[in-house]
Order: sequence, then C-alpha cells, then structure tokens
Amino acid sequence: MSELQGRLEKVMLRLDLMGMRVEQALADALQAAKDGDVEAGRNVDEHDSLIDREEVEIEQECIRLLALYQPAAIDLRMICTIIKINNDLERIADLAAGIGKRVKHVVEDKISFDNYGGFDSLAQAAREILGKTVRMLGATDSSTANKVIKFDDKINQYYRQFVRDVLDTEGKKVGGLEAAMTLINLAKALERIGDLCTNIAEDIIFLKTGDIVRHAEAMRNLSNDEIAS
Amino acid sequence: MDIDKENKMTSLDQTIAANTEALYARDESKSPTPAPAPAMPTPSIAVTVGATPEAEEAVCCEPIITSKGFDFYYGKKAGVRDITMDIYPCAVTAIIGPSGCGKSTFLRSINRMNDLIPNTRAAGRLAVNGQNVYEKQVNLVNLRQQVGMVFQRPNPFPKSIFDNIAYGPRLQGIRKRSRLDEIVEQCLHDAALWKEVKDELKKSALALSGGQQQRLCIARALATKPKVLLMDEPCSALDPVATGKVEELIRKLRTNYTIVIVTHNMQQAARVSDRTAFFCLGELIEYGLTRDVFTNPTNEQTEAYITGRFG
Repeated sequence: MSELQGRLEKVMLRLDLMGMRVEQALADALQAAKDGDVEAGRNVDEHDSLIDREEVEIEQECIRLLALYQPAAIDLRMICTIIKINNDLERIADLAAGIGKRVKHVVEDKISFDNYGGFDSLAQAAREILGKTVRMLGATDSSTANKVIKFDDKINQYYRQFVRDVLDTEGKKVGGLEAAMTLINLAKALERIGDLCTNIAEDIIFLKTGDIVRHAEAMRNLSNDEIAS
Repeated sequence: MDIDKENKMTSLDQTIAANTEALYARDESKSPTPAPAPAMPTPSIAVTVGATPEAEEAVCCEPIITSKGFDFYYGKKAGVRDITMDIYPCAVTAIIGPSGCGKSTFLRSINRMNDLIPNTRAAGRLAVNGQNVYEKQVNLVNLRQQVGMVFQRPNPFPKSIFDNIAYGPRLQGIRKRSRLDEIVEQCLHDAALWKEVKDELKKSALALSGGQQQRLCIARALATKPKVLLMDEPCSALDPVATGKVEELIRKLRTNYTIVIVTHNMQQAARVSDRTAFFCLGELIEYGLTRDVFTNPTNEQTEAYITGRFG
C-alpha cells in the first residue's frame, strides 16, 4: 500500500468515527428533548465543538493530501467525497446541537410529545437514516446508498404530516404559536438531517462509480435544452 | 556524468542522423535518377477541433493518425502488439504507461524513427493522413517533415540559435536571407522563445539554459511546418519552471498542430492532453478523454497505474 493510500484509509476511519459521534449526538439530543432534560440538551450543544474541530482537521488533512500527492481516479474521488461528507456530517451535528439547545423551549412551552405520535416516528426515522448512512460510510457501500436516498422520501412524508398535525392542534390553541414554532423547528432539523444523509449517499455513489446522481433530472433537462438550442 | 553524456549524445545523434538522412535523401531526389517519392496526401480535416476537452468531446472529425492492429518487433520480441487507436488533429494525445510498455516504440513508429534500430519489423497499419507510413514507397524525408520530433533531452546542434532553426528550411532549399529571417522569427515566436533570444540569434544554442534549449528544439521542429509533433518525454530533463513554459507552449501549439506526447509524469499528461492512452506490456489498455481517464478510468489496470498502485 502506498503512503497516500495509507493516509487516505486513516482519514476514512476518522470520518467513520466522526459519523458515530454525530449519531450519538443526535440520539442524546432527541432523548434530552423527550425527557425535557435541559442540561443534557446543553451538553450536546457544548460537545459540538469537538465535532467541529474534527471536521477542520479532516479537511486540513485532505487539502494536504491533494497538495502533496496530486491524486487521480479512485484516490481523487475519495478525497473529494471525504471533504463533502465531512462537511455534511458537521452540519448534521449542528442540527443535533440545535435540537439540544431547543430543549429549553420544549420545557418553557410545556410541550408534551405524548400528544404527537408523529414526532416519535419522525425522530425514529431520522435516527435510522443517520445510522444507515454511518454504517454505509464504514463499508463504502453504494447499494445501501440507494436505500438511504429512498428512505428520505419517508422522512419528508412524516415531516409534512407532523407539520399539519401541529398546525391543526397548536394553531387552534390560544398562545399555541410558540409551541408550534418549537415543534416545527425540531421537525425541520430532523427533515434536514434526512436531506444531508441523502447528500452523503449520493457522494458514496460518486465514490464508487464516478457518476454524479445529484439533481439528475435538472441535469437531464439542461442537456436537452442544450441539444434543442 | 558519463552516462548522462552518453544519453545526450545518443539523442543528439538520432536527430542528426534523421536530419542527415533527410539531407541525403533530398540530394538524391535532385539527382538525375530520383527515388520515387509520392507526396503525402493533403490533410482532410473536416472540422477544426477546439483546444478544450469540452470541445473535443463534441467533435467528430477525421483522425490524422490511425493505427489498426499495429505491431512492432525488435528481433523476435514485440515492442508493441495490436495497437488500434485514432489520434485526432489539433489536439494533444498523451501516451502513458510503465517503463518498457512500448509507448516510445509506438511514438517513434509514427515517423519511423525506429528504422534507425537494426533488426526491427512492423506489421499492421499505421497511417498518417491516410497514408500507411510503413509502405515501401513512403518517402521518409516527406514523412519526417510532416511528423516532427522533440526528444527527452534538449539536443540543439552545436551552431547558432539562428542556424539551428534555419537548418530544416535550408534543407528544403530556402536560401533567401529575408525568408529565413522570417521563418526563424516566426518559429521562435511560436515556441515562445523570441522575446528571450531576439538580440542574440548568433549566440551558440548550447549557451542557452536547458528549458530554452528544449523550446529551441521545438522551434526547430516547427521550422519544417510539420502537421504532427511527437514529443518523447520533453520535460523530463527540465526544472519545474522550464517544464511549465514547455507545457504552456504545448497548450498553445495544439490549436495548429497535432501533438503526441509520451510522458512518465502523470500530472503532466493530465494537465496538457485532451486524450490519454495507457499502454502496458506492449498493449493499449485504455484510450479516452483525459478528464475521464484521470477521474474515472474504465480499466482496473489503468486505475492501478495512475494511482501508483503498480508500475
């Protein structure tokens, strides 16, 4: 194994580890929200700086590898993919930290999740998609990637249903606006996590095949327009 | 040091031999019994190819060099086997591969430089502008005027800068000083060397730096108005600055010339070429647009080679 491949393998391991940390952060944040544990929520937010530092270090190493080895083919795709996934994982961690921060509002607004079975489904689905994504990173498996992309549709569906439920319930209550805002913000973070996991899955497909599957329809339309003009 | 000197002499000898051969052949053709010398057909380029890979992709034009099942043997050993590829005009084609893979053999077959090596044999078809270069009636002088060559080490003649470039045109019978001045200036401009040497054209070419000498050799190759320029590791003896200048020159020249470059420097192939061919053990393994070969090669061997996993 060349030095570049050795170093790339190490970065990939770090990324995998970072994925597990992010997964833990989301689990902790959701548990804190459910328990109304403000302290635990703040903890998740404070620990986010560790993930931020890890993200910067991984990016620095990738830039060093690009500059020192001028990689090509699979090595080049791997570095580009790591840089993008690194960024997406950090954003997922930010969203988890955001959920942690909002636990305070959950308590202040006296929100009981028992009234919202939809939130549980959404939270469960977000954790599941992140779990699948992190495991896919460890195995760089593109068949799981397609499953992740499909699974995001389910999350979007849960999200839309949940927002309707919140508006129906809280919207009719006097002073229910704050609670509705908090709930929708929490749900929005989970919905975004689904989107970012989709991005990661698309990056894994690029790593494996060299195909960019992102915005496939838009790209097709664009090339049709070019042919037409 | 001795080895260096020897290499330098070998490659200098090759150019001198090629040019001297051209000189004698020309003299023969002027003699009362000229050797049959059918002119190479004029190029039939349907579309001018753009200098960018994007333009390359859309273009469908006649290839200038076509190789079909081409083999080249050193004695009984095959240097290259069954090479089938088309090289397109006004573009840069890079040939990469591990040492001994036949890339230089193939390159030097295009203008029959390998003829200088005894006990060699070619089979199959290798055509420039539709003319099989290994047919008996091919005039080597015409062929090498159309297909110029730049070697690994700069090998200017031990003459002045002016005389180095005027050498080829003089062989072609151009004697008028004003015309020679014009050609020398144009070639030095084309080789991006004019500004640096315009006040010292009488200076010995050997007094130039390595990078300048290599650009002078390119200018000298351009003086016979070739259609194709073959470059055999043209930057391997140059420092990074000189390499940069030669690469810039290659990019500039591709609007008017077809360039085939053999290089061990993968990044160089990626930077300067429109298409890349990967050779291994005398066979063509993969040939495609450079941007595809270097980002997503279709063959595992190519991927292993360009990522340094073997070779």
